[in-house]
Amino acid sequence: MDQQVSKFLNQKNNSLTNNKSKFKNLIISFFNKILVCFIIGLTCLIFLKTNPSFKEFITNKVFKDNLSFAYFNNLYNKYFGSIFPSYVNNDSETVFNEKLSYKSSSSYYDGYKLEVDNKYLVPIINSGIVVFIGEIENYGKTVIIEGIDGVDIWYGNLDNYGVKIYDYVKEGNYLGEVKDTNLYLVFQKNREYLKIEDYLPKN
Amino acid sequence: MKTIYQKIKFDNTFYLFLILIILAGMFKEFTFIFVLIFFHELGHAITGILLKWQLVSITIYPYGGLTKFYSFENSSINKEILILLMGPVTQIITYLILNYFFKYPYIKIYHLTILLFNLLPILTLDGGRLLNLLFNKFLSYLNSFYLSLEISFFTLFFLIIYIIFNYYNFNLLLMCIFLFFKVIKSLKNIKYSYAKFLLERYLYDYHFKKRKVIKSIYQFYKECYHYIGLVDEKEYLKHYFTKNKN
Repeated sequence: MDQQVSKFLNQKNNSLTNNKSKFKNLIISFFNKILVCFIIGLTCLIFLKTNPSFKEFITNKVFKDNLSFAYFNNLYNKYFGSIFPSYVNNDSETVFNEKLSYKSSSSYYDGYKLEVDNKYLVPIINSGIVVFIGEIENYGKTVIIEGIDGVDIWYGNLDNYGVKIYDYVKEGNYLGEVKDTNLYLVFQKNREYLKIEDYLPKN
Repeated sequence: MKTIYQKIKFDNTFYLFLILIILAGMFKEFTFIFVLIFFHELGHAITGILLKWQLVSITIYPYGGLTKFYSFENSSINKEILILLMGPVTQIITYLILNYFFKYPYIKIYHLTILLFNLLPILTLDGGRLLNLLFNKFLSYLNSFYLSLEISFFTLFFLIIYIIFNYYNFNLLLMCIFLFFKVIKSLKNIKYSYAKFLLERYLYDYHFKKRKVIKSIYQFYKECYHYIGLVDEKEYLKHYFTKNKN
């Protein structure tokens, strides 16, 4: 018993006093990790060079597709409840609750140009998360809302907007004001542009 | 300040939670909740340091934190109550400041949720420990512990039933199960903390004004000097801790 104890204590002393060997081990393990990273990176590169379809897959997934925040959040809420539990249901009634109405629509670049009243107050078509606010060429001031079904809707040619980036917004709430009588809409899902008839039946 | 900075740790579940947050894109909500929790724990830590307690660690969990001190079981009840209360107080102050600068309706909801949950009478949460300390003022150490333990089991039981049948939320359920195991752990450790309580009384000189006559060694009160039958507390503890030597 005493021998075991002394052996244990000696081991402990060794590890405490031998700082040099500890440092050496640290360096060796660090370089090993770098080596493994190199090997994985180079194999990936070789694979990319030889296989063009894999290259396309990677570029599409990494550089072009969005991470669908609202879709994941909606799914999680459905099966597990909200991520931040709260003592009240967060369904406060808002005064502004309308559906989008327009006179006529015609295609415009990737999306559609809707003719609406002057200074029309735009309601949100589908609830989701605001992922972009800013100027886009040909569209003017634009808000992009990623819906809970994974469809990105661009609202172009706005003047004022009542949302901020990364806000979760609800269907029918106030989004913003149109600059003149044109509202540009684009429906996009994974690099494909959807038709307005499927998404917004004319009323 | 530097000592506090070095002692902040993040629990592993916190990193899992971060992945969830990034996937769901709830950056703003998360930032506000993290700030509230962080300042809540800093409130405990700084008050403790000002009262010359030695800080061990601050651990941040997804929905709350844990501040640990090298504490004595015989430390003054009022000081402990002060340290416990300063957490919620700093959280309220932080909330008021946040609410002044960022006018989001959900800050209030999450702030009140964290605060009310933290004040539930469950041991290991602030509310339960506060209740335990208040019981300690007029009950013996073990009795007040068992009373608050029973209350916390009842609360947890009803909370879990409520969550399952009325407000289904997986994350909240996981947290309640976690709390349940924490309470069980404190039940397992009570004999050690009571031994620590007695040993401190034997090793250090405490001067308490209140005096009480008790029958056995299991009826000790906090902040009280005892007579076990006719024997002085010091004498009794000396005999108690040295009798197994030979």
